[in-house]
Amino acid sequence: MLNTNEFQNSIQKTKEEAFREIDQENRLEGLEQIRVKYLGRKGIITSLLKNLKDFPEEDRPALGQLSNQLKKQVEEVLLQRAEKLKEIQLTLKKGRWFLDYTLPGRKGWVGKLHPVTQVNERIIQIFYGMGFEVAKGPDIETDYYNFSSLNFPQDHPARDMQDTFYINDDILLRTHTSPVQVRVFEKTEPPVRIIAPGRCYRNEAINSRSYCTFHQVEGFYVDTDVTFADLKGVLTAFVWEMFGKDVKLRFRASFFPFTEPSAEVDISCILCSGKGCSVCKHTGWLEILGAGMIDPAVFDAVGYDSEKFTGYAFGMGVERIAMLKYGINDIRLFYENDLRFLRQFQL
Amino acid sequence: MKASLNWLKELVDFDLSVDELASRLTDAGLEVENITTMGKDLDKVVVGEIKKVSPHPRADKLSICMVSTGAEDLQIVCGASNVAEKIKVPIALIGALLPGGMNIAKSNLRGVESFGMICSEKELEIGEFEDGIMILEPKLRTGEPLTSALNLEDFILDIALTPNRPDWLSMIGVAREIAALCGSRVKNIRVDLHEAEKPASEMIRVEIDDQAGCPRYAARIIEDIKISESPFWLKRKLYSAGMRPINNVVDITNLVMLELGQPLHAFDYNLFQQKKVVVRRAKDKEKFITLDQVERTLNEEVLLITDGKKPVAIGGIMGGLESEVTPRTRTVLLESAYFDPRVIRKGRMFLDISTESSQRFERGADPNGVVKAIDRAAQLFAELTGGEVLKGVVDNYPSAICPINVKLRPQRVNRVLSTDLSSEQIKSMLVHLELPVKENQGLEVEIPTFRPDLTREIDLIEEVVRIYGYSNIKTTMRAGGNLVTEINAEDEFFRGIKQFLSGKGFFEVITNNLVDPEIQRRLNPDISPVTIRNPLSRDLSVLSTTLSGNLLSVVSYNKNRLEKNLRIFELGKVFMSPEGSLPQERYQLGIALSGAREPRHWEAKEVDADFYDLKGILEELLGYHSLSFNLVPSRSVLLEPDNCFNLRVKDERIGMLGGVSKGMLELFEIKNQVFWAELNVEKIMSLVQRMRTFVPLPKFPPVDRDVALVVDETLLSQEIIDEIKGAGRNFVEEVVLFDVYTGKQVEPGKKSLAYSIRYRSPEKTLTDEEVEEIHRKVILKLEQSFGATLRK
Repeated sequence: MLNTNEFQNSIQKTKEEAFREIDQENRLEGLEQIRVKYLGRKGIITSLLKNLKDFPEEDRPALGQLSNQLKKQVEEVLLQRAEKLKEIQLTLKKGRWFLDYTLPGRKGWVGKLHPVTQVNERIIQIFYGMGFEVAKGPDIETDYYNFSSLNFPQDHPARDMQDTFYINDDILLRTHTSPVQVRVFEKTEPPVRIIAPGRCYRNEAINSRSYCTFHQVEGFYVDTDVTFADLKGVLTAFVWEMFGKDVKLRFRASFFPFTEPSAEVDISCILCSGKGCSVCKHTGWLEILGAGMIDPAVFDAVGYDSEKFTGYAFGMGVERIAMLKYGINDIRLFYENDLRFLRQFQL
Repeated sequence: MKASLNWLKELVDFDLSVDELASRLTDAGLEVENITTMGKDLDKVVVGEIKKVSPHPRADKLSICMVSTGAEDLQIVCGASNVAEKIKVPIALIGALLPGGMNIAKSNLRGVESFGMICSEKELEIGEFEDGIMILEPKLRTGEPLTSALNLEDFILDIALTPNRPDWLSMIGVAREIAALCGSRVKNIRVDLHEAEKPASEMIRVEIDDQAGCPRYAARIIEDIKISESPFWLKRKLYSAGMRPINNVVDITNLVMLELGQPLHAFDYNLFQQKKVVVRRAKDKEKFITLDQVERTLNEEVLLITDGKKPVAIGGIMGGLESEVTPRTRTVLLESAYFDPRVIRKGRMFLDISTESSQRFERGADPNGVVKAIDRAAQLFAELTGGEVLKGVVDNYPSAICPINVKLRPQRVNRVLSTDLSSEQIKSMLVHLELPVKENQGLEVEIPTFRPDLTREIDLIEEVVRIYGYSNIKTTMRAGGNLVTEINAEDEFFRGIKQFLSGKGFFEVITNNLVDPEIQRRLNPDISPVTIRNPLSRDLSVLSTTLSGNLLSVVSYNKNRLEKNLRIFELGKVFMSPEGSLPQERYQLGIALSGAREPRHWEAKEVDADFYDLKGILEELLGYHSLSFNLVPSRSVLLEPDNCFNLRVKDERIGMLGGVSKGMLELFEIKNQVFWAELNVEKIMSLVQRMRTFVPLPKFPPVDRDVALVVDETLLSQEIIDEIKGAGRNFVEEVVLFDVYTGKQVEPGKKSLAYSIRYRSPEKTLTDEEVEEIHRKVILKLEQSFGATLRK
């Protein structure tokens, strides 16, 4: 014989068990069995109600209420579950309930930035991180900014190094981004540390290795104590960030009118790791940029004290770097804008 | 420039493999681009001696030769006319494989057996002479492999030179560099000359009219020369440098030029009627036939060598046809001069030619190397032409060009390079470059005249670092300078636009802004483009004034490759050339849209994008920057007449939008509809308010009311919205069009537009009655203004 407390616990337990069984039942026939088990003539809840008469008179109303509540709740949950099962059966019949998660989702178009832009942005980002600011200049330049001020004297063979498109005797399409140096120097006192991206033009036959227009990034830094060792440092840091830290650099002597000493910078071939392959023409090295200490003649042209200040400058071709980075063998692909090409690039 | 390793070894001692040498030279600024191995394929070709020549019994042109190869005597049938007894010749033995691919086997020529082949230079690919067998020097040992006998094994370095180093355009210059890199010394080129008694000055005088253009002119006379083929060693050297042998006289002048870097010219003396040389500037429009048989019209930039009457050569650039050395020439006038680099450059640019000679003079020859070169050549004339060198050099050098002195502070070297070099170390490097150094408060370097590139301290610092090695400079990873790194506002603005559009599914393209003037004119007939004076080709001869042509080309290109859906943009420059002012350039944004609105999906039907898709993109793009625009109907050859609009922001025209016209689609061979917008992004940027102040959030709730109106079909929605805003005073916060309907439910010629109007007061919560009153006023106004009726 249960006492009052035990009776209450038993109701609670019965409720939990009934609910659990109902929730787990997936068939309507099963629900009927559960109904009989709890609410049938010999069901668990029916028996509880029958037992009420054995309790003291004063407890009976409360216990009776509890039992009836339980009966109602179970009936209700049974009904809900039955409806749910009916609904599921219905949708199953229609065949739409199954989630084919392999169907494609709803999506819009996806575009991408041109690889030249991507690489250009990456270059700017790397140098921005080292404290370089962006400056820009016009595509249509004067002879003064493109050549004379950069120590390319008139009638000097150095001018043959850059085949130039002329608009008239004095106005031309810039052959490099170096004119930005002079434009910045004219307006700013050192220290200046600038990165100058932009489009350039060369009057060269179009083939897989050269195109009449291309993008360059110029960088320069002028201060009281800038040395060639700093130039090596900044370019090493750049190459490591762009191509990875296992890439080696080689600086070799060269000539640019606006830097002295001048250097061509090579990196160890990123395809064969310097062992020699067709891309590096079996030399193990790839030419990547030109650099040097800014020639005092440039400082003289802009009124910087070349005794007090030293500086370095470097210039790199964006297409060239993209070609090296992605193994692209034809520069014209950048200007064809074939979507099958443009889709491929994500830095 | 091509440099033979064997030749270099004659000039300087060094102990480097060819690869090591190439790498050292490349590091020092002489970029070795390629190395060619010579004399590899001549196995089983030996020196032979023809003992006996007898005629072939059955062929007139063939001879039967008995040839000794040292080890044995071979019978060889030969077709060359220059076979002779007791000459030494190259023999390809049976089993030899010649460079041209010919396999030598025992053969039978018209009944006579032949055991090998006597070869010509051409057959061995060591020269070009093919009219007969090659005749070797008698001193060669019979039986020796030809490769070693003629020293054919060689490496040719192909060196890319920089224009600042004229001295590297000579073997001696390259040798000097090797000497400095290896701490060695250049060997002196032997000049021992036997002159005749008769002085040259009796035969020729030299007058210089233009001293600035020609600071020095030296001449020698060589008599009794005999023109012939050059010996093999000389031809071989010319070949190794990529030059073709002509005859002994011309070959000697070329050899000395290659060796010492001083261009020489040999004239037939008998054509100098005046017995003098006069150097002067050409007259404007003066005519002259150069030895390449071209009649050239000269101007005053051009230097002429004359005999006092008629021109005989263009100084420093090219000789004349008439004064050329011919097989009949007996007396040679040999010229060795120094011409001003700028004058030569201007002249050859005017004439549009470049020669071995002009290349050296325009970079800067050595004014003080003139006599050494002419003496060296005279010596070779004596040796190789049988000529007699008359006594003395007739040398007109009115004002000597002297070496300059340049100071070099070792501490400056160390400051620029971040090195720790001592004065002694620096001095030693310079001395090895043949730059004499004195100590005089620092170092003082006497710059020889063969190094015109060295005029300043920084030039010498470069010499130091070249020899010291760039790789020996340390690499400092540090950042100095200013802490403030400003972001470039324009870049940032453009970056935002590009990222927005790529996020909206547009591919960025980058096109060549050198375009075809004809297409340019079709696209933009009213604007004159910037024209290139010296274009690559006519179709790349102007700068584009609009991005539309290139983007439509990209659309066409991709459609031809079965890309149906094109969403592309370019943010690039356009260029204009307004009358009477400098060319101008600015950034513009072009957007082209064609094909489906959305990618194909299993749930939705494919619908083509239209005007509203592109308009929506622009609304989003400008809306992001809190700019709204109006469209004003316009006309343009590019766009369809009824689908062509100017975009205006705050009464400023910022671009255009519309559907590309049929004519343009035809021009670019595009079959589908394309929508186009082109915006002046610089102007847009100027209209954007960069610094916006925060607007406090509204304190009172809004009330939304919908209204559906039936109006004339031609009434513009914008007019209704403007009217609602006007009638609703300050209470209308936002008007959203949410439905447009034409069809059975409304009368023909009418349409139904439904708007959701949001009312709000900044001062209080609006009551239903208040909203109702305002809303009624709004509707009344619409009825009055447009005859609008409410749709039931």
